[in-house]
Amino acid sequence: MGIVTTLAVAVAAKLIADELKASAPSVTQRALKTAVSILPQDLRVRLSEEWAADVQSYRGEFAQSLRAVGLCWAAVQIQFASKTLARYRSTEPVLAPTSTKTRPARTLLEHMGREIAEECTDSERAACRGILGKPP
Amino acid sequence: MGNDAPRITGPTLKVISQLMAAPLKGMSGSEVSKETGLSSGTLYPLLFRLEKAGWLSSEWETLNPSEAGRPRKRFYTLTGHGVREATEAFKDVAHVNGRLVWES
Repeated sequence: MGIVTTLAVAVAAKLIADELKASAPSVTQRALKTAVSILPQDLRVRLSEEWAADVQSYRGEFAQSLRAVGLCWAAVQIQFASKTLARYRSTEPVLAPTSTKTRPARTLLEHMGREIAEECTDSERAACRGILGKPP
Repeated sequence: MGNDAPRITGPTLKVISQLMAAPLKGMSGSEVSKETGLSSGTLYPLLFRLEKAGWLSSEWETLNPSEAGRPRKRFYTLTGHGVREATEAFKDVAHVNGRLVWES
C-alpha cells in the first residue's frame, strides 16, 4: 500500500510539474501584460520593453514567472507614486515659500505654520490680525 | 524633475551604493536586483522615484532588438545631483558586517 501511494504521489507530482512548466511562459506573458496595463499611460511603452528584457535575463521559467508577477506589484506602486507626485505638484504653488507675498494670510497660517508666517510682510501680518483676531 | 527628494531607506541606499560602483556604464534593473537582492516589486518603484527626483538618469542599451533577438535593457546611472545627495545621505550611514545601518 505504501509503495503504491508513493508511486501515485510521484506520478501526480510529475504531471503537475509538467503542467506548470508548460503554462509558465503564458503566466509570464499574462503577468507582464497586466503589469504594463496598470502603469500610467506615459510609461507603458518604455517599461514594457524594459521589463520584458528584465524578465528574460532570468533563467528558468518559474523564475521568470515570479519576476513578472513581482512587476505587477511594481506597476501598482508606480501608478500610486505617479498620482501622488502629480497631486503634490498641483498643490506645490500654493504651499511654495516663494509665493508668500501673493498668498492670502489665512492660507499661509493654515498650511505653513507660524514660523513661515513670521516671514510675512507687514501688510500680510496686518491681514492675519484682521482674519484671526490675534497677531500671527 | 529634481526637487521631489526621495525618502532614504535601506533599499534606496542599497541601490545607490550599487550604482555608485558602476558610475559610467550604469546598471540595468535586473543587474541591480541580482546584486542587491531586491525584488522587482521594490526595485522599480524606487528607480522611478529616484529618476523623478533627478538622482538617476537612464538610457537604452545600444542594440538592435530584432538582430539581437531580445528586447533592449535600460541602464541607470547616478546623475551629478544624485551623487551629491547620495554622498550627503551616506554620511549618517555606517557599513557594519556587510550591512548598511544608520548611525545613532
